[in-house]
Amino acid sequence: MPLSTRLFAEKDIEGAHMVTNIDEDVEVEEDAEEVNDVASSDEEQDDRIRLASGEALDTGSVDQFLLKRDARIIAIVGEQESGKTTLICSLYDRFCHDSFSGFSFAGSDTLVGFERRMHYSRWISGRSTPETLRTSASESIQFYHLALADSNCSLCRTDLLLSDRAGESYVAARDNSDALSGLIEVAKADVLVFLRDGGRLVIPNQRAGALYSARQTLRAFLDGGLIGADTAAQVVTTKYDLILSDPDKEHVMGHLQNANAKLYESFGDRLASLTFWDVAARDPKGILEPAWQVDQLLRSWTSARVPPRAPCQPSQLRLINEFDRLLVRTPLNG
Amino acid sequence: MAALWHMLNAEDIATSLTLDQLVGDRTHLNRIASDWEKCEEVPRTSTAAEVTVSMYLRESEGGSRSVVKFPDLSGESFSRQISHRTCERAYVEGLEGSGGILLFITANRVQDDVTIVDAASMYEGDKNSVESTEPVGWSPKMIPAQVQLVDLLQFLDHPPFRRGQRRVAVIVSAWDVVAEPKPRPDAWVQREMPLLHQYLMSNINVLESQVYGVSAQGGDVHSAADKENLLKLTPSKRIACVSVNGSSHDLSGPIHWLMKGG
Repeated sequence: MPLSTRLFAEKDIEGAHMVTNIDEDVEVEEDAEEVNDVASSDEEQDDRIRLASGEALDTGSVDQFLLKRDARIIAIVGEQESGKTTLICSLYDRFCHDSFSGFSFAGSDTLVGFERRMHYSRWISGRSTPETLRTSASESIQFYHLALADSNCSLCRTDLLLSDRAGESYVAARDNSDALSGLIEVAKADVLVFLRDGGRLVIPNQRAGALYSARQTLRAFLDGGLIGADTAAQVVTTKYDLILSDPDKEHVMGHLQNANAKLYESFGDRLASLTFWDVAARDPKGILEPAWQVDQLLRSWTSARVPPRAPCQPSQLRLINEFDRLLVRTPLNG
Repeated sequence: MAALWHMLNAEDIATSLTLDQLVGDRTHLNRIASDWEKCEEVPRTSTAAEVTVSMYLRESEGGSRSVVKFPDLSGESFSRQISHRTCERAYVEGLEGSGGILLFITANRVQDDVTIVDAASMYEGDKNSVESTEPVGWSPKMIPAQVQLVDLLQFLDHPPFRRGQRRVAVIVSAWDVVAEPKPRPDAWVQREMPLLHQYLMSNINVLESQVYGVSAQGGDVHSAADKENLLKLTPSKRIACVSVNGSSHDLSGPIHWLMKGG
């Protein structure tokens, strides 16, 4: 058992669902002979070595990642079809084209995961209009990894882990506080990003629901103790292209401003920060540039003040032998 | 490899590296060099035909000697790393030593990462051009080339591969098909494979890279007229090797640069 803090798996109720990266971790931690022990029989026959899957990370894989490298956890929260996956993919897509927001791409452990999600927005898919593969309710939480280097300092690197979970889970948590406990990414977030569906704001009979979902969700998270005075929270209105092209846009923007002001009035002093953003990750008409205003959002994620992670306290561990107990007598913070 | 072998044997141009001695089985190298000398297409390496060739080389200046081993791996071998997420044990062992990496990209390629929004702007006003066909599902073979190349390099940063500083000579092959005015090879990579370019520039602490534009044949050997003109030249002078330092016929330059990093 490693002594470093395990951020997710010990608490995560879904942690055991996906084990695809466990073998990769075995390769990291064990020697070559032991790798052979876990290899499948056909791999043993043709003497092939297993490589990293490149898929989106489950909570156990995030734990393993954080043992090797620090990262900022950005919890992307929102109801179904609010644009969570599209926002994440738009970031990856921009780096496939060029450096973005003053950052260059420095690597990703989830390239295959990104590509899978990007597929229906690519020409090769055969579609004529872009689409994002939805994160279904049957999928457990996933994280996408982006390592970014400051364009002015190639070795100044920031690792981001962007969470993606089906919107149904957040609706359930809004409706019932008992469902809050499973939202480990919210509790562990360095930045909480709540996506408000701009597409619903231009539909009169859905506008109120879209505006109040942010309010109810933030309140549920705050009252449930999931977030608090050290949380940097952002409310991001997505699909802003639809608002800008709406004939009644002034009226819609007025509602939006009022709702944001009320949100700040209600919750601003209960959070470390509460800020409001408008983005259009992918305007299908191509009027707004791709990832419109997402660059500013990305910059805020990398510059947000991140409190240091609390080290694991020895008293929380089961100390089995004298060697373990040595830990109690060892100062951990220098 | 065929052009390099010819150039080292013929000694008809000045090169950074020269052949020190002939040792071992040279059948494969002689066969592919023979095709190249006739301006014929050199057969691509199949998975079954993968071989490791060794060349005993000497620096033209300084005279230090080295044995350079080239595992001539097929493209399928690398595609399988991407699609099956496995590799040969021999591949891992081959990267244990102090050698560098020759990373080949062909300039004669179609753009494979176009988004629907990109395509719509390219075909603006011609709606028929962006009519959908039957949508097809995702498969690993659809991963764009630049993403595959980044993934291949990223594998090397994790066990079981040896971690540490490596040199990567990026060879943009078929350089003759790049439209004039030709950019510098590193600028071509930045323009055509921006993700790979960013990755290389952001990881200079572990991957030191140099980009070369290489035309091994010197032109289109499928065109009778081009072939006739190419056959008139001293064979080694058909080769073009362009880098940040200028243009030459010396194909041993990238290998010499890799050796200096060892």
